Amino acid sequence: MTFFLPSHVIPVIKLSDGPKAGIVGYGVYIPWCRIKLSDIAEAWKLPMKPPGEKTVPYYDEDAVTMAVEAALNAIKHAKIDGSELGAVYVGTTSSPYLEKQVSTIIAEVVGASASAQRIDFTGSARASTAALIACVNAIRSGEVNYGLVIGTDVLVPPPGDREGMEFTMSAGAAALVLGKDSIIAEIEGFATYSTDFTERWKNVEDQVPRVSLSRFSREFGYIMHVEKACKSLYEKLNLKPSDFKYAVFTEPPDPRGYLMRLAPKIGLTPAHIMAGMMPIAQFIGDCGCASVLIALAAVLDMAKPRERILMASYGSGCSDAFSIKVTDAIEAKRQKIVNTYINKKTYIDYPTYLRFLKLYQMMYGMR
Amino acid sequence: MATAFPDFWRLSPSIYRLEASKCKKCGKIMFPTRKICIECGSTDLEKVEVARKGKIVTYTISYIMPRGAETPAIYAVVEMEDGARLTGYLTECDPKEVKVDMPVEIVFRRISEEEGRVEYGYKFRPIR
Repeated sequence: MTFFLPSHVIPVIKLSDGPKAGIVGYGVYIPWCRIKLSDIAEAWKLPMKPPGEKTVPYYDEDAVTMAVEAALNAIKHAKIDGSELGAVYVGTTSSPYLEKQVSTIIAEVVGASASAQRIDFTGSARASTAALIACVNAIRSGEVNYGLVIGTDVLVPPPGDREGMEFTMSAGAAALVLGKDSIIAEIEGFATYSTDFTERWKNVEDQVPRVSLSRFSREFGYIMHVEKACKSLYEKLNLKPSDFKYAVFTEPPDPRGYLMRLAPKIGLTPAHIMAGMMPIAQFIGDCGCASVLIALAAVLDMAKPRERILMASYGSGCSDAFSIKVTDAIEAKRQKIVNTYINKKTYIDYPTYLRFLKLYQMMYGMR
Repeated sequence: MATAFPDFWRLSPSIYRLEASKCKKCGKIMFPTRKICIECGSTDLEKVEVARKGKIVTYTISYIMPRGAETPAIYAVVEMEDGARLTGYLTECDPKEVKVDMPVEIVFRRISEEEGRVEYGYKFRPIR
């Protein structure tokens, strides 16, 4: 005999009942080079002058080097030693290798032991939260004491594309040290919603991603998936939208348009979203796997004890939603890391931007 | 420009984590790790990590570099806060602004790439 459960019945597993897992320290890295969006528009003679700027990695930076700097910042903030890490989980879509893990490089640099689990998560901008879920589970099961979760990406847009990818895609990295004790923000629970939805993809031979941005992909891609993940989180943890003070998301292609449409659907107001998302939208851009974690770091920089943060990632048809509750311990570990990095900058011009992203090759004479 | 992989792998604790040897007798810090102190000849050494900040002792600017490397390249000898001396490239630095005694910090960057194998290591970045 087969029983069919009604589709709305979600098994209730409360993380708050079991052992706790949470953030012990966090760090970010945002490249110092910036390009003004108006300079990009001018390069292509577009009849607009978009405000804001985005980050560009320096010539010798990539997803790995940025991850290392973010990880070292996080470990310093957590006040632990790299050798105490039992897990190094890296979420990225822009690893320099198809075969070979980059988590091993990062683990070596931060001094993690050779027996620590080093795993790469990839495939979409949601990879960093997939890594976070894996790490929370590992800590809650008692397998590891401290885990390092990193989201890092260098998104390279096709030059002159008409979908506007060039105005958002950027680079950055963020890292969280998770643990059981002396946590500054507890991860209360999470929920996932994913379907086979193709909206941004990259084939093996592609140097730059392809996108299909339409009203359909906005409504049924980003907005619907994030909405369902958040609602299933509310149900799972028995929470209301009013329980949350802040909300952070993976940066969508058009932050204002997408998030203002999403907010009422999950019972939030623009004020919830603006605090965390504005620094990302104005000064950084969409840095793939890193963007949701950088937004979380921006909120942790200013959050007060006992405030709740809703965090939801999205990447190609997958969305993870988290409820994170700030604890009293945050005041002793207060830092303003996101603002510090945002204020450190040098502006570069469009040809330099192309060279730094290796979008053109220098020709060498015979010498 | 790239190091042979076996060499690189063996040296990686020094290249990645800045592991150095400190003489327990005279306190000299040597980078990369050694078995005998270059100052007093003692074999009683311990492993330490080099300080991450220092000052430029001397430098040279190269306007012609191998393929794929950023030009002009600035190569410097840096004395770290704990007295260890390291050589390496500067990054995110304009050749016009580099000078002796300029404070720099260690960052982790791409050094070179050969046959698709990326070699990472440390570079120096001016403190801003």
